[in-house]
Amino acid sequence: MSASAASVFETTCEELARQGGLDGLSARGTVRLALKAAGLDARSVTSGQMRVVLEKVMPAELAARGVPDPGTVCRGIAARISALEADGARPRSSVEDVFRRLGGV
Amino acid sequence: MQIAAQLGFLAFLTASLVIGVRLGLLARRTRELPETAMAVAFLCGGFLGYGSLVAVTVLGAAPPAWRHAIYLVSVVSMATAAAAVAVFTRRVFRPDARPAAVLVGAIGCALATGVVGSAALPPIEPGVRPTGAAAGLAFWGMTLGTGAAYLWAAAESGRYAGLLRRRRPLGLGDVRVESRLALWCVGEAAAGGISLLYAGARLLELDQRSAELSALSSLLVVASAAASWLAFFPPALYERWLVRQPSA
Repeated sequence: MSASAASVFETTCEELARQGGLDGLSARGTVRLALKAAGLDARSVTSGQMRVVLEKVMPAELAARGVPDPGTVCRGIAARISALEADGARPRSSVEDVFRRLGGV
Repeated sequence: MQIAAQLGFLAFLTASLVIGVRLGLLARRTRELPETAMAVAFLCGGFLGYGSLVAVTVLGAAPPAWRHAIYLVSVVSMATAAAAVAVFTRRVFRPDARPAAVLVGAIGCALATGVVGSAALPPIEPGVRPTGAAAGLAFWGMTLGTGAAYLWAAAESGRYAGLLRRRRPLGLGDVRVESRLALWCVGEAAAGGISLLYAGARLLELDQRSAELSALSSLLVVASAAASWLAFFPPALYERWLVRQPSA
């Protein structure tokens, strides 16, 4: 797991446990399910991708688990994730980067 | 049937040469491993390896004194290409996974066995299937090594194309990259399918030089060439169609 992806995933789980009132295991499972539904992986997710998941996928996941006011919780986590961007190291080439480069697009 | 097979062979050679040169130029500029490995795979496997193998074993185009040397060049080239595909797959899709490193090593061992077996074969005669222990090592080493390398690449790229398809409704996917991965999957599956085809024929003790097997093999060769060409040189019409695709 790259350092930036690890910190994005871990921070999201910690913040979800803190702001959403879930226990650690449930928070990790919820984040993993949301990532899977979005076609993303905890080992490579970027902060930008996680913010999209928090906006478009996670509210429904949290509502299904009875978390009150999921929109506010997700916005709070997204704000915390944004702060990671400044010190996040650029990960090595992703699969998309490589295949974009190979086709010259 | 024979004309169709030769046209397919020519299409594959041309596609491999043009794509290989293009990726080689890209690799010279970027100095990155993935494009270098792909350039090696297309130039060594598709162009040099496959071309010289068919020239020697099917067409009998080389002088008898040169046949064995050219055959060995083709085997080494195809082994190098399959190893390059395995290295590419590991580097791009599983850079930190130990099992992927083990798989690359296993593929390398199988290919090395195939090369050693091929070097120990008696002089090649067109249309004559070599027999004996060396022939078995040559056949199974190369067939298992190339089959594993190409089918692994197909599985990883197909899986990733599926992930990108799921990202599309969220605005996180790139439909052109998704298409390139899907086409790469088809091309590699077709290349791996050739290995499976000949492995199956060998296990079932079918005639490996039958017209039916040659036709199926040629179809897979053409499919692989067409998918690779579409992946790396998509016509404008195809690109316009791609970007019009719905997001879900």
